[in-house]
Amino acid sequence: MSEEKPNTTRRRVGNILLGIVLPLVAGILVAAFIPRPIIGVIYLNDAIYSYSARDMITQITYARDHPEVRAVVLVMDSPGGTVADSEAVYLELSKLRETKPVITSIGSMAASGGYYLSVGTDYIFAKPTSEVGNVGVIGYLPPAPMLYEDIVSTGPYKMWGSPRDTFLRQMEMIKQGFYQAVKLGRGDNLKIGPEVLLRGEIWPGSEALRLGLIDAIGTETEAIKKAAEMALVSHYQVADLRDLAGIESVYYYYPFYYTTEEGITTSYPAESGLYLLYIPPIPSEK
Amino acid sequence: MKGIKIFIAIVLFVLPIVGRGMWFYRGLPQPRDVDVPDYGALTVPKPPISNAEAEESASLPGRVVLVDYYHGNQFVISEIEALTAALSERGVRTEVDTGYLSLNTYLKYVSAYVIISPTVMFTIDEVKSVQRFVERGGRLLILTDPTRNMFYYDYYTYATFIFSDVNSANNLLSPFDIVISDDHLYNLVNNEGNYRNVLFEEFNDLELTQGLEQIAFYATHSVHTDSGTDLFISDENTFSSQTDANGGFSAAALSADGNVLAVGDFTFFMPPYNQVADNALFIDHIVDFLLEGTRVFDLTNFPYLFNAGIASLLPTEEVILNSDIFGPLASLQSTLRNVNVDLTIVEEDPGEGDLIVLGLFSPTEDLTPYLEPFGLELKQEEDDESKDTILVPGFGELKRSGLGILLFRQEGGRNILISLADTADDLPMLISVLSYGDISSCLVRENIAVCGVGFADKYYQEPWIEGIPEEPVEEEPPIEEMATPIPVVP
Repeated sequence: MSEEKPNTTRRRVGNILLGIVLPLVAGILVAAFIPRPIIGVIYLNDAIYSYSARDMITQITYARDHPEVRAVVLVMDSPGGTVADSEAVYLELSKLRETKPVITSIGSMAASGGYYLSVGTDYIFAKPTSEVGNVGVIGYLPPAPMLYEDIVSTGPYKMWGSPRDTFLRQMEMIKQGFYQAVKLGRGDNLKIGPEVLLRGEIWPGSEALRLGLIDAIGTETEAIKKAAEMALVSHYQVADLRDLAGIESVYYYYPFYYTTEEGITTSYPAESGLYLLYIPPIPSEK
Repeated sequence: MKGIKIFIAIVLFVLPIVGRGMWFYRGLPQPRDVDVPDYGALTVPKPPISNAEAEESASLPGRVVLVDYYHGNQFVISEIEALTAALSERGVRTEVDTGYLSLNTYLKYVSAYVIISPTVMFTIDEVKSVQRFVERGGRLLILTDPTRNMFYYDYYTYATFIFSDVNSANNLLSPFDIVISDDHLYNLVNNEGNYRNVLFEEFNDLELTQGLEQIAFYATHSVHTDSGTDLFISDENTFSSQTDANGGFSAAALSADGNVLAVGDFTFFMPPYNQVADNALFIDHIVDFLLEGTRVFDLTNFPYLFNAGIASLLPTEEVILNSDIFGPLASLQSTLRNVNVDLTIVEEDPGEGDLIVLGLFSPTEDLTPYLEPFGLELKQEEDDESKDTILVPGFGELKRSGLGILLFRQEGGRNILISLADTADDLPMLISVLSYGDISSCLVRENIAVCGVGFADKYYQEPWIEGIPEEPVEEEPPIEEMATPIPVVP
């Protein structure tokens, strides 16, 4: 009898280890592979142009490809930028929204192309005095076609892109695309028609809320909370998607804005073209 | 028992997984469709094209239209190609005022004055000249454009100063009760490819709007008039940038006398915009407007009184063409050649074409028919020729001595200028006055001018020819010798 006791005890301990501790430990180990949800944050504190758009798209792609990133908050402070880059980011955001909620938190400005991106998200927060709106397109007409002695081309618009009149009409088409994006994004929340929206006005956040251009007045923290709520996650971590995506913080010198000979950076783009951009008025006197 | 154990093991295995999962996740993401704009369905708005055709206009050779280029006008000459081409088709010459001549001189002979986006103010004299020009049937067209401002950049304050063209335009237009607002019209609902390209479809019944159904303006100021007539009115979706108020704006107005047309846009004049909607027809009407004015020519228009290319010079019986008169006549011929008029001396009135008659105050048989319409009346004093007078309508009774009179009338398409002097000696002086090409030294009242060309009254005797009458010289009395010598005081 006395010889059996240690064996039984050992067997019982073994059973317990095998039946309780091992599955539990295995479960804990497996559970450890369940990632902590991440609310990814994309910061846009610049105009939307090739470099900034490329960075944003890299971050959006990262968020889309990584399941632990359950929602994205776009922290916006931008006057907009080029048409093509704005549209590219807008379409990427729309793709991301198919699987994950995207929330916008407007800092001081989401104008023109900046607002274009905002309407491509699920919920928009802004501060009471954030500058919101400026729906429309701005562009520099191409020069009237002319000929040079030493520069030759194979067609009248090879050097100029398009007739000036056509350029203007294409701009109108881009505006309609912008308007449709706003209509789709804001849906029934939008309280104003095209005759008001397309005036290109900038509204303060509180007015934008009344007009249905945004959903709520709130901070970035509230935006993150809202994103988590929509993504059905808790105890999440907030991460800068720029860091996660491994985008190096290299300062790209890209002269998006025109700089005068005196070194003064103006609010005008350096290159002619079409823009979804808010250009603050320069000081003038009549 | 064994099954229970396995169940417990599974539960224990799953428990931390579920627990961690539920700690972080309260649901699974649901894929959803996100709508984006149908970019492929977006189309470029096309301009409306009109089939309206202008009626063939009559040729009006000899007429001149003046285009202002002296008041900081914000355009280049190539931009008015449509205007100059339409004028050329009618045989009308376009001249550009670059300040070579005074505005007053230009306005003596042009049919119409076109001002495009001026940014330099007109002087008081210029405003008055234009006003007189319009009062005498000249046509004035002012085209402004909200995109044609003049910018001035201050490098010290980095401020940009903007000078709108309406300031200068309104300076000229105010006497005609037309005001152009420093705004631009816009329409976000019904426009021509852009909010600032405004369509007009409601027209007032005027010659300028005949046959028009739709006009497209490419950024326009609004134009206002009380006594005049708006050409067309905007719809309720058209707003003014100045007030953001809507409806009922005009972008072109005609003055009450029908001689001044102000338009808030200039771009519609240029290709390709001149071919959109009924713009081409409207431009055609504007060109007709410029040429349909009935200019009243009077002596102040000298030397631009003749339009036949040749003017006949007819000396009447009493006038002898001698060496005294040839010099002034040559100068007059030169002056007239500068305005494209050749002077030909004739012995009798050819009965057609422009005519210059030279005569004296003593009317001869051949001069009388020319004078009758003017109602001149000669009064002669038998005993003293120097007291002879002439009654000139509008001037009263004038002493004839040293006087020259110019008379002008238009009759049956002819322009007749009659130059009268008191004596054959005064006539060269009067022709000299004419040869300056400017009779501003004469008193002018409509078609009669009175000029001082000789000497009146006391100098009439031409003392340097007749000799100065010697006045008796009183001999001074000889100096009397002093009766009493002054005593010399030692």
